[in-house]
Amino acid sequence: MENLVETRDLKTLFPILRGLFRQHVGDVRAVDGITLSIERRQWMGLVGESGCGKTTLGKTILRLLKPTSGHIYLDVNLEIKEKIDELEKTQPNSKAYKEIRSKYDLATFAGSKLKNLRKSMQLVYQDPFTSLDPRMKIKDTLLEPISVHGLMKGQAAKERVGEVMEMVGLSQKQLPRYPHQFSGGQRQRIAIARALVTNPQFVVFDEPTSALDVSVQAQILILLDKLKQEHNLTYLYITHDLSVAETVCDSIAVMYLGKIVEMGNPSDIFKKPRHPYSRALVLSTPIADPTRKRGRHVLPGEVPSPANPPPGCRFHPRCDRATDECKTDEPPLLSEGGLRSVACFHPIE
Amino acid sequence: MIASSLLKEVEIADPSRVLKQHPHQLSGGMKQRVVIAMALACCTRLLIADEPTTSLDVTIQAQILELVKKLKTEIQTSILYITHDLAVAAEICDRVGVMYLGSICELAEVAEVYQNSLHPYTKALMAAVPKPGKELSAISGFVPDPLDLPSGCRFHPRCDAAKKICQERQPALIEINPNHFVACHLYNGDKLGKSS
Ligand SMILES: Nc1ncnc2c1ncn2[C@@H]1O[C@H](COP(=O)(O)OP(=O)(O)O)[C@@H](O)[C@H]1O
Ligand code: SF4
Ligand SMILES: [Mg+2]
Repeated sequence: MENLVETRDLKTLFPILRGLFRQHVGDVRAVDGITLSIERRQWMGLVGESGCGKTTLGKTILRLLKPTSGHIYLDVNLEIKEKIDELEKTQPNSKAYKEIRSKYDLATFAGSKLKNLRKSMQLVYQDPFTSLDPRMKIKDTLLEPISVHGLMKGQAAKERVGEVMEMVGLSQKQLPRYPHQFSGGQRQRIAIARALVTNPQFVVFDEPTSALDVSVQAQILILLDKLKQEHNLTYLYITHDLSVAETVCDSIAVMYLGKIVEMGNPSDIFKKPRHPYSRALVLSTPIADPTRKRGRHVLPGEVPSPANPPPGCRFHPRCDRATDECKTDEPPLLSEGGLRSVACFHPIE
Repeated sequence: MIASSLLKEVEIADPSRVLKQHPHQLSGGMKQRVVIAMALACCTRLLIADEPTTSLDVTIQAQILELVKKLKTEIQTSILYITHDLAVAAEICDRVGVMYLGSICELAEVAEVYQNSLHPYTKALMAAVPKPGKELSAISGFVPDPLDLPSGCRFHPRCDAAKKICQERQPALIEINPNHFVACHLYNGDKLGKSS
């Protein structure tokens, strides 16, 4: 399968400035070297605990944030990506390298190029209560992206807005209303409509159902699945809820402290996690079945600060398999064939 | 010192340091442990825990749930655990009461509620829980405005099985099977419940 979205060694660091002279004393290593591919029409889940860098990664891929280094591609063919890798190794200061990157590598985009990109890639935020402008009618909220990108005018724009309302299961009659006149689930539908109005290829969802009740969550997940099928969409779905990821995603990436520690298809990750952190996440997740009590495996301690990640494998202070090697060397994310890759020196058999 | 032994009880590793700290210096999981310690300080017989792990990450939630389970057996306190998370309830509760718009619609042993749910709302909730390999199903419609409650059974506008009486009378919570209570006209037989 062809990859629609790809990142290579992507880093987004937030500088920590201190004192009178705003001295640069360190960095929050929110996204610290992430190489990730999302196949066309895939629904990829990104899971991990709060603060591990999920939102930062999502926003960096969409270029709502500027990466510190690394590459981001949307719908770029393999030869070009390889060419860029090769030039980076052999002549990183050459004009050829700069030129090819400015054409294909989203990490370098700015200005009108960036604006153009926005219509192909969209974000749906977690909180349907704050992500919509309370003073704007739904109609205007949905028309805005169309006019910003100069996609359509007049009647055509109006028709498009009506069309997306119906796509998300709302009615055109509701267009003159304001956000407060809708329930949480309906507002999330409006946010989804706004993301889809420009006809994007790729959508990042940042915990879109975590503020919703389980029954409303099910409605939204069913809707997302339908939209994905009907419009050939590709999703990156950020969630801390593993049961949701396991149920709806085609593949899952597990993040810990700015890094991806394991990737694979949901049943592999859940039935046979290879990374000790994935296993801890899986075993910590309660399941709604009183007969299936899991053998508890309580992970000791708490997540360290990404401003000061542990040396070697970042998980080593909490890992029961850690050896001396883990304290000094960083395990690379190695492919094990198929969708599966693992970053651990002593993966679980 | 009592305070420090209570903190030990809730598995805080370094009680003397934590006792000197301010709440904002503690992580979410630590704060929740301290709050549980406070609740236990006066030989609690009933502990009411209102969504105590909702804002916590799963690995920290797992630590707190283990602690709650341990305390329940060691200190022999009863716990009323309020949660919207069906998985958490399945994990730690002995009995579960399901609420919809201000009243209990089903109450039974945990396994009964999850495997043999009788109330249409409970059944729909169970079907909405994401489970791999299972087709998700959603309850149609939305939770009504609590200021403008439906007549009769409050679930009737969203219920597939609603009958005429469901619009008219609020069903009483009745013991259908031993220890299994349901408030639904489908099971009420000739007990009509109170009119509304
Ligand atoms: N704009 C910012 N400036 C400084 N630090 C930030 C900023 N945004 C996020 N961070 C930090 O980066 C880390 C990752 O955050 P985030 O991507 O929001 O994680 P997640 O979405 O997984 O909870 C956190 O430690 C967070 O505090
Ligand atoms: S590399 Fe070592 S410390 Fe890291 S997860 Fe694997 S065994 Fe544990
Ligand atoms: Mg986030």
